[in-house]
Amino acid sequence: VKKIAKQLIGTISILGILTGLILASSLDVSVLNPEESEPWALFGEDPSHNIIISWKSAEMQYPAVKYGISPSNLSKTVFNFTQSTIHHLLLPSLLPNTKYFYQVGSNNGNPTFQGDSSSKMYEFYTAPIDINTTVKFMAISDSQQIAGNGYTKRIADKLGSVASQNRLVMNVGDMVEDGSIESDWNDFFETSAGYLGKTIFVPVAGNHDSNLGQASPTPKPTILENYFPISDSKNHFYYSFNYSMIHFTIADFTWPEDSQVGPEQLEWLDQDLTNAQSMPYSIVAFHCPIKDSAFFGNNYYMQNRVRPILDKHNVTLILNGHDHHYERVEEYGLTYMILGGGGTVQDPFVVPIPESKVIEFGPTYASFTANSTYLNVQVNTLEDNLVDQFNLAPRIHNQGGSE
Amino acid sequence: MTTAIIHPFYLILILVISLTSSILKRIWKTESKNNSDPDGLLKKKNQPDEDSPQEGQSTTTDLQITPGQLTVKLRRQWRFHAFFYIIIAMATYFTVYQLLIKKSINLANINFLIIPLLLSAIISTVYFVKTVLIAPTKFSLVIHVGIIIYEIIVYSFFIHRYFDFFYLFLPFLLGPLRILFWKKEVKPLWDHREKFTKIINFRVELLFWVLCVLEVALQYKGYSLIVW
Repeated sequence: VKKIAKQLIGTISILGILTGLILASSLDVSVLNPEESEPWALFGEDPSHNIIISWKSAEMQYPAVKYGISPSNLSKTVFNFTQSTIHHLLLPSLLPNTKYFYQVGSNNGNPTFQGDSSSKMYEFYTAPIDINTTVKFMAISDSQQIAGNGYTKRIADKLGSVASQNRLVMNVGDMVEDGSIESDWNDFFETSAGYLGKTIFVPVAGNHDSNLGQASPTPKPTILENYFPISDSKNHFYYSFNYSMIHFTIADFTWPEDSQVGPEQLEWLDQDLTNAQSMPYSIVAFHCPIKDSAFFGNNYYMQNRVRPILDKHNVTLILNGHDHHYERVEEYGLTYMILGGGGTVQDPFVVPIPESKVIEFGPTYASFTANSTYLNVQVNTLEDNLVDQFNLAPRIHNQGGSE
Repeated sequence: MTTAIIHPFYLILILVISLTSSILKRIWKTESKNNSDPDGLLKKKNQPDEDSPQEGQSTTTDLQITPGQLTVKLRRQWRFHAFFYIIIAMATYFTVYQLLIKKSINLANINFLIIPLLLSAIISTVYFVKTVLIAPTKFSLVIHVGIIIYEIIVYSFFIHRYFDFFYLFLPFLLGPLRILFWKKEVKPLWDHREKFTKIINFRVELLFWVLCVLEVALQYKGYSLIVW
């Protein structure tokens, strides 16, 4: 009996430790996050003058936002007199290239801001009108937490520590593991709060965030659009905007299949890039890569339908995710960055292709500085070790430049 | 030569599975075998084997297996995890080689890779040697060397062309073959298991397991044994 008892205790201890670790990680994502969130800021139709402030509340609420150009004098307030739990308030008629501060709160159905005056202050910059203004921004991708993996939190905190010095932060898709589940989004907003409240957020749809346009046999309701109501289409999540000398095109290629890379979006992409020919830099972001060294790095639809359009319009830089590692690929004069070091578990393996210039496993984030002579790109690790650095020339040279 | 570079995190993740199986086997065998025969394979000459009929006493052919014998033979498939160690060892060697020679590979995050690579290299090499050299039977020597050659061919020619991780693990399908050829496995060509189990005893194996579990847990939360 003693022998068997010892053996049972040993077995239970070994298996118990493993089970405990798995459970502890899972609880972090699925249970421990609050339903309400801190706010995030999105570009409105004109990034120089309109910004959308969004947030989640646990209870139904009439939302209100107080804002101004000084934290001690939030002189303006906007209200919405419809109750909801996901709030979006448009701040109109803002000054371009100006730092704004804001607080979120509620109202009682009449135009009175209700909120603690000591409550947390958030900030953002509006876009400049002058297209020679130097711009700094950051990007990551694939921050989805499969079961509480911690790179996501550490990368988000790293972005949070420098977000105020950047005009925007882009996430190139797969922000969450399952975009149809509220708790996953609660976890994303909780984890990313450090940077979302300090700058403008530019979301890109990933295949885990949204299944718009996917020919899925069992389509799931997606709630991505509820949080980020900025798409130009109801069939896909795509939009574009100009920021100083850069034209950003956010496309919705999340999965390399026929229905995703269909005529509606391809026509929109072609037209959008045609309209942006006068901009010195063109950056196109979409989730699924056209070419890289991992599992999704070689697919027919992306190479035959999307790449010719990017090539035709001499796009400066293409930002992708989907594969979970960092990589820079150069092919046919196009530069691709796969920003899959944003937090999720990394790819099991890569097979380096000849077009690949840099490959890195582990947590990474990208920082960009655009001025009239070059677009500088730097990719760093959590410990600030340099992974990759390169400059891209503008398509068109402008005169002058300002900070 | 272009081939796959395996993320070291997955190497120790597989090691955790394999080591857990080894540890559990040790726990259930230790008391009766005095900690020197975790595989339950040490047989003194002329000692009756409760698991198998002795050479010459068998009244069944290899393919005539009674349900009772089949149960015993399936239990012997615990040794199947030897395949894990050969595959992990080969994956570790190819990965280290590729990390060192491939120009496009950046090692800025080496702090996150070094402990998994070291653990994987040390542990898989120890068990690789055990699996292939400590007590080989004719059949196991053939099949294990066959797996090594297969892995070299997959890494060198197949994986970059077909891009399928599954090819690395295809040898697992060979496992059931051991049931058919089991009787031929009883006599080792030479036997150093006793020495091996004295050096890599239960405590050492438990230490390997703890280090691997700790590193996997830390990696999962964005840290490592040397990154805090």
